Parts: sequence; structure tokens; C-alpha cells
Amino acid sequence: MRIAYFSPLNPMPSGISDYSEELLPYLARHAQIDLFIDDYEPSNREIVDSFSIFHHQEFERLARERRYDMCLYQMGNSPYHEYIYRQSLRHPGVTVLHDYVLHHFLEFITVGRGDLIGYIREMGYAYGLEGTGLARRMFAGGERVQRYQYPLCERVVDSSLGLIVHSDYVARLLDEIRPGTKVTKVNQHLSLRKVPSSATARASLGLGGDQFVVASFGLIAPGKRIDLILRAFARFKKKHPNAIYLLVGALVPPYQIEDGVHELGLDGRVKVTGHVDMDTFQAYMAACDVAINLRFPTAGETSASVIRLMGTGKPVIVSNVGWYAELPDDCCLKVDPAEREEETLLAYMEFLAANEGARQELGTTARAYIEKNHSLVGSAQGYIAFIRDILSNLA
Amino acid sequence: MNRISVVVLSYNGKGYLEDCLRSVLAQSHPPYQLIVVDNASSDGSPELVRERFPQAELIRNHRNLGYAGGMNVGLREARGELIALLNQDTVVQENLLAELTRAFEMDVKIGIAGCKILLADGVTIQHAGGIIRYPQALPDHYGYGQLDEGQYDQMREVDYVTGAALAVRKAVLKDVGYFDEAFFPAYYEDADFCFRAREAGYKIVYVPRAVVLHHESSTLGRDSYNYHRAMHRNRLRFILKRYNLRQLQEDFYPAEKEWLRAPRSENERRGLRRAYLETLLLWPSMPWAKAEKEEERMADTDEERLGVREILGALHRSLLEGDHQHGSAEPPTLHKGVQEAKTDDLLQPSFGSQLVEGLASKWHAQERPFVSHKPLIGPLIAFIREMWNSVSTKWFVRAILQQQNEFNEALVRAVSRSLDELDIRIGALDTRVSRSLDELDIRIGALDTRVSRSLDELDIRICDNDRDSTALAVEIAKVGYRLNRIENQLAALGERLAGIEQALKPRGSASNESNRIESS
Repeated sequence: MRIAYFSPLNPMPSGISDYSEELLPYLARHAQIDLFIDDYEPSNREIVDSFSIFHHQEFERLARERRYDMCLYQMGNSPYHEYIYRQSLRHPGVTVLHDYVLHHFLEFITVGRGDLIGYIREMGYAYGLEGTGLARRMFAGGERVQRYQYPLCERVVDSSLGLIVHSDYVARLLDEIRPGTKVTKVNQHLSLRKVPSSATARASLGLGGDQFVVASFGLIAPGKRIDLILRAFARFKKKHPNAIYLLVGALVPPYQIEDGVHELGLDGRVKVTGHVDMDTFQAYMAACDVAINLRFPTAGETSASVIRLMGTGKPVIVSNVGWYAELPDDCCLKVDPAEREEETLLAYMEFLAANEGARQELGTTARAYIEKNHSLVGSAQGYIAFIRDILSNLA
Repeated sequence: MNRISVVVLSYNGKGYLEDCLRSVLAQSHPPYQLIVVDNASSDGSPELVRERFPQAELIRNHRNLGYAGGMNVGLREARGELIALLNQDTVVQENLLAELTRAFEMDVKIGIAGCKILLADGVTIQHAGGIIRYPQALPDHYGYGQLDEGQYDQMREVDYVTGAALAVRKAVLKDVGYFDEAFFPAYYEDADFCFRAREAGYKIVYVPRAVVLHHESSTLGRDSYNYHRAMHRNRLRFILKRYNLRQLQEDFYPAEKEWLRAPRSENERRGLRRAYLETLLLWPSMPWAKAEKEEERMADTDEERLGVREILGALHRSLLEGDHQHGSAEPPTLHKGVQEAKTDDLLQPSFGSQLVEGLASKWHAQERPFVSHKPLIGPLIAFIREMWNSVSTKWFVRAILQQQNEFNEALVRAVSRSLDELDIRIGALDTRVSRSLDELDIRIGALDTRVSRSLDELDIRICDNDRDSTALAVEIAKVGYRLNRIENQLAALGERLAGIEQALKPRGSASNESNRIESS
């Protein structure tokens, strides 16, 4: 089987770059794969040495020569997916939908580039006159279109022979907007490099052994409920003066938390690391006592950070929405994004801080679950089985 | 019995005039004299009178003198001890003159008597005596709009009676004079006349048995710019003739200012603006009527001039500002000079109003007393100069001064007339622009709807097209993948065939060799 594979690769700062580079060697056991990228030099030597990598503009020529059995598109919400989006419309294939809500992405490649008509057209494609009306009113100074209410993934869905998603939640949403669409769920795989011990990690990161470390991982944005976590942590700290809260990842401008930290009296107790490499990222995972990765509203995404945290055997507190809600209840703690969200979060933090045994048990169960259900081998098998299924249905 | 003359004022009201005159001639107490004063009608009214009512004395004015001027002509010709004045659009009941005469004979102090005036339906009251409300002198009619159910059937004294139908004792004319013709073309001349008569000791009464039907065919439309302009200008004249400065400042101004905040039609706003301006311009030349109390009448002093100018100017500006700010302007401080000019150009007084305010403040030249600031002997020097002036130059200078004032007044009136014409032209232009804007609005609306529909249709087509393109792309892709698969299968088959051929080749060569041996 020959697959034309479209995905950002490192050094493009997208989680999907890592995702693809981890998955590709396993996929290559089942198929011959050519990679198609944008205007940059891939940085991962193993990938460069193991695969044929082409600029996406060469696809037409190569497609005639190599007669690919299927095009595979890794579609996400960042600008690095623009050529993938356009290519997927020209040459439909199997699309891996990492985000159900693509509104941010489509708004960026249309409105962000001054192409208002393009945006109106996208809204029209997906929602008819209601969509064009909403877009035109927004441009006339009216209300902004609600991105989560109008996900704008419809054209991608229509342009796919089949869709791979990472959660039943997104599969259900797709069935609601496009009933009968061929969709399969392939769990997002766990990828862990060698994880140091907690003591080693703390020593290397300059954290004290007696500190109670609470941490959140990944990009820092309003949807990660950081303000709420800070308020809960401020209350938690009163009983636990040795506690610190780490935000491991980069702030997404224009979001800033400095004022909130100062107002809550958390100066010196909260640290933002900024973007760190994967080894440091995992060291922070190893060093933390409790991880909190909330998300609301959800764009239907799956969190690689949460999977890594669970795979590391750390107790994780997540929001009870979307994909997160599908995780087994004995593997993590879930907070409803409802009225008493802050109180529930605080209670969980207190519980975990007071029960080391519970932390260990939660982490062990989580790791066992992830190892069983989120393996790279399983993911690759899921991809290949689905592509074969699609191909068999073409005849 | 007193003889009663009837004066009917006619102006382009041929359609009403005949009924009016017939009703007058059908009186149970016939008129001693019937005078028709025509204010230069152009609709054939005078001809109608001459042909059909030869018993009427027809007086034709060469121009429209307005109500006061026209009626004054008739009043001067009237020979009766009583004189009834009627508008052309009235129809009087047959006992009208008898009832009016009886009222006057009941009480010699009655100077003016008014009628119960009903609308043409005969049951709705239009007038049962009038009242002028202090301090704005806004007029009101008792019973206006009510059904006549006898509620106003008592004869009584009132503030004034409307000039549409009234009777006056001729003696009043000797004591207080005629209608003030400056109340041109109409409005308030009747109120002014009644007030003057009462000030002279006469009673003004409403006579309910004297009934008149009124078509109210005003020559000025009720909400027209000209109506409001004339009505309010005459109201201001009425006020300035009666109020002293304190009343103006403390009573009239605050009430008027508050009243101006209420929403009103554009015509009334424009009419009001014009009325303030004209009064501001012409009030120094107003002939003073007798004030109710001599000591309360305004003297012609600089302070009063300044005070009145400030009030009128402030009201005018307030209305201008209100037009731009919907009445949110701060009230100006009286006696503190004209307000500082506002920075916003929109709030600047118009060129016309500035011109008029400027002229109003300066055109009336006056002699000034001699003043000397020399210590001790200053008053003596001033006195000597005053004396010298009075014996040598005063009479000469006065004549020049008067001539100059007359010239100035004529100039101011000419400016005023030009502003009038300008106003009318602007009004006409305004109407045209307004209509054009309306039409444009309608067209834009229609175009908007069409564009909107076309856009929707275009959107639907584009969406359908995009969806079709997507579906087509998917089908093409499917076919492409199938072809690739077939080609790959064919290629694989070809490779297999080539392999089979290759595998068969040595065996075939050996077989041929054995065949050759066998045949040999």
C-alpha cells in the first residue's frame, strides 16, 4: 500500500508534528509512505533518513508516477495546516480530524489574510444563508460569529472519504452534522521518552523535595481555565504553604496571568516556564505531585499532555467534557465546568494532597489504562485497517 | 335701541361669504349698516358682493391689510353705536344681533362682547370666551372641542373674546383706539384690543345666546410655518406691550424656556425661531399701548433694551441649540451679556440671526447726555455744554437723528423682508431636498432589498456550486484511487506474467532442442 501523508513535522511547533513523527515508523511497517510538507526543512533526522519527503507542490507529478492508494491528511487548528486543508479539498482522502472546531483556523486563513469573501463562502458552505448572513453582519460591525457554535469543519468532512477521530465525542458530533459519514475512532497514542524519577527531575529543575508541586501542561490560554485554577490554588495554599503551581508551556498572547497572580497574593508561588523541550516537559511531569489540565469549552480536541501525564503515572484532574469525559473514572478526577467548579477542584486538590496512597493508585491505574489503549502499535493498526476498509468500499 | 353696524372682513373666501352675508341679512334685529371690507381678494369675492348684496357697503382695500388693518377700515366707516365684526367663514343665528344688542344695553360698562362659536357641525364648541394664560400669554378658548350641552350658557366676563365674531361699543374706539395693525396679518389683535379696553375700564363679556357657526377656514394652515411665525410673533408683541422687565425675566423667560423643551413640529420650531428674530429686530419701534399700571410699563432705557435683547436672543439661541441638541442646551445667564460663543460650529448663531441681533442692538440712535470727567468743575462743564447744545444745535441734530432713525428702521425692515424671502426660499428648498431625500431613501431601500435578494441567490448558488464541486472531487478521487488500484494490480499482474515467462523460457528452449534431435 502506498500512502501520501500530509502533516506538519518538526520544527513546526505543533503537537501534530510530534504526533506524526511518533506514528510514522509504526505506519511504515504496513505501508510505503511519502511525506508532503510545506516550505521548511524537517529537523528530525530519523524521519528524514527513513522517509521520502517532498514539497506539497510536487504531489501532482508524484501522484501520476507513484499512484498512491490513499492520501492521508493530519488536520488541526493551527496555521501549519493550510496547505493540508487546500490539498484535502483538491484530492480527497482520509482525514485525521484532531480538532472538531476548525473555525479558528479557517478564520485565520480567510479573514486573517483580508479574504472576507472567502470567510463568507466558508460560512455559506457550512450553514447556508444563515452562515452568510452571520458573516456579513459581523463584517458590518455586528456580533462576532460564535466559533464553537459554528465549527466550520463541514467542508473538510464532506471532502473526506473517511475520517479518523480520537474520541467517541467527536464521532457523535460528526454523525449529528453529517449522518452516514465514514468515521472511526483511533485513540491518540502515548509517546513517552525516558522519564526520570521524581527526585532526579526535581533536582534538575531546582524544585525542593518537600514542595507540593501542582502543575498544568501545554499552551496557556483562557480555555484552560487557568484563572479558576489560580483562585482554587490560592485557597489551597493557605493550608499548604509549601505548595507551588507550575504552568509548563507558553502563554498564548494576548492572554496574561501576572495581574491575577499578584491580586491573589501568589507572587513567588506560581511559575510560568514558557515553551520547553520535550525532555524538560517530561521532567516537569515527573516532578509534579498533581496535574490539573482543565478545558472548557472544548473544540473536540484530544490532549496529548493528559495522555502523557497518565502514561507517566501521575494523578490528573480534568474537565468532565468531550474526550476527557470518556476517560475511565478510576483513571483521573473530573470536574464539571458548572457552578461549583472551583470548590470541586479545591476539594480534589485537598484530597490528593492529603492522600499519597490515592495519588499513587490513581497514577498506576491511569498508566495501565493508557498503555493498554493508547499504544502506537494499536494506532497504526487502526489507521491501516480503516484505510483498507475505505479502499475495499471503493470497488 | 342701539343701532348696530356689521363689518364682514373678506379675503379670498368667496365660497363662504355668501352664506355669511345672507345670515346677517336674515337677522331678527336687522343691521343698521352692513359693511364688507375686502382685503384685495383675487377670487371674485367683491364682484359677488356687488352683484348679490347691493345693500352692503363694499370697501375694497388695494392690498391685504390683515385682520386688524381690514377691520379698522370697517370700524372707521361704521356709524352704529355698536359694531359687530364677523369673519367671512361664519354663519350667524338669526337672533345674534338682537342678543348682542341686549347684552350691551344691560350694562353700559360692557365694551366688547363675544359669541358662542360652534364648529360647522353645530354642536362642538370652538369658543365660549377666551383666556390668556400668564406668563407666556398662550391663548385658550373655554369649551374648545367640547359638545355644547349648556355648560357655557352663563354670560360672564372673560379675558378676551375672539375676533372671529365680536361686537364693540363705538365709544371704546374713542377711548382706546382701534386694533393694533402691527399684529399683522392676524392673531392677538383681538386679545390686545380687549386688554386695552379692560384697562380703560370696560368689561369684556361672553354672550352665550349670541351663537355663530364657524368654518374656521384660516388663510394660514394650522401647522404651517407662516401660522406659527405670525402667531408667536404677535404673542411676543402682546407680551412686550404689557410686561415689565422683571416679569419678563422672572416669569416669562423660565416658563418659555421650559416650554421650548417640549417636542413640536418642525414648522412650529422654524416659526418660533423666526418670531424671536423678528421681535428682537423690531421691538424698539413698537408703539407702546397703555399698560395696566403705568409704573409697571417698561421704560425705554438702555438696561431694558439690553434685558429684552438678552431674553429674546437667549430664547432664539436656545431653540437653535435645541434643534441640534434636542433641547439639552444650558440656559444662558441673563444680565451677564450674550453667552460666550460655543466652539461647535453647529451651535453658532446663524449669519442671519447675528445680523439681526447686531442691527437690533444698534439701529436706534439716541441723544447722549454730556459728561465731563474734570474734577469739581466737570458737572458745570457738562451743564454748559448741555445748555449750549439745547440753544444752538439740539433741534438741528434731533431732526438729523430722527431722519437717521427712520432710515435705519427702513433698512432693518428691508433686511427683515430679505430674510423673510430667504426663509421662504430656504423652506421651499428644504421641502424639495427633503422630498428628494425621501425618494432617494425609498429607492435605496428598494435597491437594498434587490441587492440583498441577489446576494442571497448568489450565495445559494455559490454554496450549491461549492458542494457540487466537493462531491465531484470526492467522486473523482474515488475513481482515481480505483484506477490506481487497477493499474497497480495490472502492474503486479504484468510482473507476475513476466516472472512466469521467465520461468517458462529455459524449459521451452530444452523442449525445442529435443524436438530437433528427434526429427534428425
